[in-house]
Amino acid sequence: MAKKQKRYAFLINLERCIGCNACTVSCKSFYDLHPSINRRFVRETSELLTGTPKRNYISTSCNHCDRPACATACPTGAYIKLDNGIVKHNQDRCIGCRMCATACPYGVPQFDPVKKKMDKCDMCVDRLEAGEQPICVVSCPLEAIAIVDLNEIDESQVVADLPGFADSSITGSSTRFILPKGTTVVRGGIKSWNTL
Amino acid sequence: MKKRRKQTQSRISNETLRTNPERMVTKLEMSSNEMETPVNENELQANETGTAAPVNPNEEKLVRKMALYMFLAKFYSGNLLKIDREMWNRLGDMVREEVSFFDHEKMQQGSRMIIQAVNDAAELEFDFNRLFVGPDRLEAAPYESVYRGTERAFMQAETMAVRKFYERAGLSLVNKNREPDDHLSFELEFAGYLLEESLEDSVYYELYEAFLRLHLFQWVERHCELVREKTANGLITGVSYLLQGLMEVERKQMNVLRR
Amino acid sequence: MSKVSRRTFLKGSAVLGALAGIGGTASSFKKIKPAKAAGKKKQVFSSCPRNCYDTCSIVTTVEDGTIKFVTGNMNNTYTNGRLCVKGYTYPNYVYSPDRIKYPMRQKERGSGKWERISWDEAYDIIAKKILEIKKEYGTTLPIALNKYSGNFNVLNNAVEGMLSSWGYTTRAQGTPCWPAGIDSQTFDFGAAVANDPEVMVKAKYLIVWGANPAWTSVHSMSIIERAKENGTKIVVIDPIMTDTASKADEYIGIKASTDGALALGMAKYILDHNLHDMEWMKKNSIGYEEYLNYLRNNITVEWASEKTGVPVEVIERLAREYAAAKPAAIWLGYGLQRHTNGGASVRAIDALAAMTGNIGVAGGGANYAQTECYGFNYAVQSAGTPPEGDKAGGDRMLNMNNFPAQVLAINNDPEQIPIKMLWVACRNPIAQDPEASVSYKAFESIDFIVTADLWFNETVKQSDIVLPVSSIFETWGLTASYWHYWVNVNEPAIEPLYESKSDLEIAMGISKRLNELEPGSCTYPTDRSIEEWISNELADDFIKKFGFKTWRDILEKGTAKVEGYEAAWSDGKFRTPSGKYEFLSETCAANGHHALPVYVEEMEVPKDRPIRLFSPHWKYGLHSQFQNLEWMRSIHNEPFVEIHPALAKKKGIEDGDMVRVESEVGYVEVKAKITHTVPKDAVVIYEAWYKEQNFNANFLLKATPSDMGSYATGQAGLAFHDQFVTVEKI
Repeated sequence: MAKKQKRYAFLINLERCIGCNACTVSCKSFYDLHPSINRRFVRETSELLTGTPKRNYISTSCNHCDRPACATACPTGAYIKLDNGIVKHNQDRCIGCRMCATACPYGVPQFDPVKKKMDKCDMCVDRLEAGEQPICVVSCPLEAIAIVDLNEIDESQVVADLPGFADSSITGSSTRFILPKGTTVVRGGIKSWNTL
Repeated sequence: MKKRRKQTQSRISNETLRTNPERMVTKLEMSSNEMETPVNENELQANETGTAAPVNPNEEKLVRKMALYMFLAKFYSGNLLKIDREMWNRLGDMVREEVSFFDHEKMQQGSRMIIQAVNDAAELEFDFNRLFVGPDRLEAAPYESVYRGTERAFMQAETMAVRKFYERAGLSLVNKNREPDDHLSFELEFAGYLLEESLEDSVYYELYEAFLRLHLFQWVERHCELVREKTANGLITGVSYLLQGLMEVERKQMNVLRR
Repeated sequence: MSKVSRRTFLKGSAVLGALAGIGGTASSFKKIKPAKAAGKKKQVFSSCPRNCYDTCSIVTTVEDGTIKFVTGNMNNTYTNGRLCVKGYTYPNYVYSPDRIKYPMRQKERGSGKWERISWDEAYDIIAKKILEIKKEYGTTLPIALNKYSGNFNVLNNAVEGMLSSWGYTTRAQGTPCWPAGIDSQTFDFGAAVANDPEVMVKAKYLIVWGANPAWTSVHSMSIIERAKENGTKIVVIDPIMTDTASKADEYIGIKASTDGALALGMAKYILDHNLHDMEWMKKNSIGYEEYLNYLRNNITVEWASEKTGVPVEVIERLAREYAAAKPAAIWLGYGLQRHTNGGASVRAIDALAAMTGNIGVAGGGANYAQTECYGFNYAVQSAGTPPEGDKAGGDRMLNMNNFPAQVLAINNDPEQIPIKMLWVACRNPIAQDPEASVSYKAFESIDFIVTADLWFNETVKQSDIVLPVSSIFETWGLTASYWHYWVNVNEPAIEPLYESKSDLEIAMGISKRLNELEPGSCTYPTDRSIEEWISNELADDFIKKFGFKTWRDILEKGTAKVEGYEAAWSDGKFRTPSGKYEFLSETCAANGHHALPVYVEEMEVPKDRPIRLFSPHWKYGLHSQFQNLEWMRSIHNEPFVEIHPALAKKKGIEDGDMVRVESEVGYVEVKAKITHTVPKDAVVIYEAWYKEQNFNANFLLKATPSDMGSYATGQAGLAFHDQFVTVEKI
């Protein structure tokens, strides 16, 4: 029987993510990106994500959707969904019209003011094909980012949706998250409260 | 003057290249390979035996431009900071003479300001360093990459593109890797060099035009405007008009509009 | 066009003729064969030399003489092939247009009127000033050095060696960061020696007490995450719910500066329930009877609860869990000792670890720091010795943590030898010292100031001469960590940019000029290559620790580990006077503290400034470095103050409002960020300064000393977290 085609996706372990942006900067450095362009985004998210207040982050990049809105919106066919799940942007075809940026529910494609073309994460497809992991995966000091095969992953252990993150059903976002666990919080009262 | 004819032909081919810089780069690579072929000795001999060649007005202008590039390159390299008022007076007159070959208001304004502002020579070094050298954050950094994307990091793609261009013309910085290749003084010196070489081989004139289009035109005018925002020094302001004027003259000749 | 006619043309330009005479005719370019232009790609080992737990071993990719990418060295199991966000900005750090490029002289300090000078001129000006001072005062004591942790490459100790080679001088001594805790551990153990942090995974229970590794030690955070996944319970005790606390199983929001009370309360419960390790105490310690009696007679869990704000039942549960878990580790952060009772708190926590027998155990320990990896020869430093006949007889030591005030006191006192010249290296004291206004006055009272740095900053602005320093990628280096047990080598990756030089080269350059002007006036060697210097740093016995034959062997992997620290103190040989763990320390008593780890009352909160200010480390910067790099600014470039919603409501402050935070010595105006993660009676402003913004967390800080530090580090530390402010909406 033929080997089943892999469907690559990012798996972000939010229990490990410390919101440090090492992924953003290492990617920017490796790909010599314009400073205004990020292929990864680290955002603070609700302190109440797990109930008791604490510091929470979401790290995302292109979500390599099953039904990529960028590809539908692009007038020049610069976006293709590869069989391996990766949504690839062909800069040679791009005319920088920004239709994709408007269409993407996650605001992923960014305009490169020098090249006058759009730019986004391609999951380091060249590295993956060469048997290497993407730069953000190998750079994250907490090892919070991984590439998984959606055909293999146990979906009960992960989620595709988070508060503040567009509904994954719109475009079939492939990114999966491991949710942070709750932390027991003990905080004493402040006696001198009235004097503040 | 066979070579000039060749140059004209190249201009026509550049028209098509203009819309596609990547193809132009390939073309340039070919050009620099062609340079490897030795110059026809007979041709040289024939000219050397003759008396002084008749002055072609285009070539005269070309030499004037070359002189201005050299002046501007020396200025940006910091070599003109220690010269006195007297020397500035003389230089100002000479620049005015070169500029007189071009009927261009900004260039003339530049040379007028240089002559009028010799008193600013006393503060020139301090103002120059504040704008272009440091130690404080540069107010008008004279590096291409700063204006083109990689805002405040050298040796990224933009700097390397300049380095590659030098290499295609068979040159490399003496201080390679110790100073960024895209410093304005290097780019101006390089433009002057290309013009000088084009007197002998028109391939260099193609390179010159391509260098302007791909590099100097991409940032120098914005730099000049930034300089004028940041300083009241008449000498520096004068130089900025002169440089911007020179770019405008070349734009007009090459029919390249500023975006 | 022939060459002849071309020359004729060139002559036709007067400008070209005139220019030929100015600044030489040499071209900036050389001819190359186009085929040879393509540069080679190589990888070299670098080492991050910042004042950081993690002190990473780096692999730097260089193409055509230019740095392309940096990443972690896989050979170093602590770095684990990964860097922190700051490390990944290094290409931007090296190639920032804002680096200092040339030696420069300022016409008038603070005027911004800078002229470029050559290195020869710089050396000449400086050497003449040194000789002039020596002639006038008969000593070099009027020359002061203020240097600290901007670059911990061992070769940078050449700066200290350089000053010694001129004569006895005035020095900023001590350390702002950790001295109280270093004293505590020195009293208790004889030295601060932590377990190898890579063994932290073996802990069954881990208390991270006043440390925030998620921001300041990401590689340790990774180890903690691994431990957590293995089933280790992670408890974080901190007044702020940090990112580390947010990853914990349990977070204890303790009232600031009461950590000692919590440790004593837990110890009391453990003692009352017979959960302590009497056998360990008998075998390995002295003074345990007195300590246990102190607990019996003076401490109750109720009292500890009252002090710390932690409920009695929580203290009891923590005590039970900690005592039952074998092994149980405590990581003591530097935050908890930045108080007027910080040293006492560290001693109380050490005692808790000792009484439960968690010392000398892999996966246990009272882990604070270690200096075991600093086995260098310090040849660059000892190479400079005061020239014969220097009558001063010794250096004059000032407290780095109160340097400006002490300089002013000296310069205002006609009886004392004044400070006329200041050398600043590896430091930005105006931005980093408390009470910036005093710093400016102190600088004004000094005639001549030289700063060697890579970056323009407030200190450079107040200097007469600035010297461009090369980055780590442009010179050799050796670095060791004060946390993990690796030593890293740093090979030059690229040529020095512009005219930058290393501190060591500068030391040799000045020495050469001094000896030309006045033979014998400087003892610093001038004839050694940087490679020779680096080989001199690695003594044979130190090399042997790694199993190496020559120092060059370290170049193979770029990094080497000092083995044998899985369980510090497991041999039971403590370095105290008694050779035992000292619950009762006569040395501590002799230094003006209590012999026992008793509770020392926290600093009283002033009535007119009732809100505590924390200014802990920032994740996008390390002290004054990194935050102002372009890549970092593109992620974050706006200071903020964290305020609890309850306090904000009380003050009518909403998220994003500008507020004025004012202390006894200064104020900042800054944007409010409302968050539940800070205490209701405190605000948090992270330690940073921002270029072109009138903001620096240190504007608010008063030079309040911590209780300890002078025994082991020469000077008391700073109570960074005993700072009090008012907060008002603007």
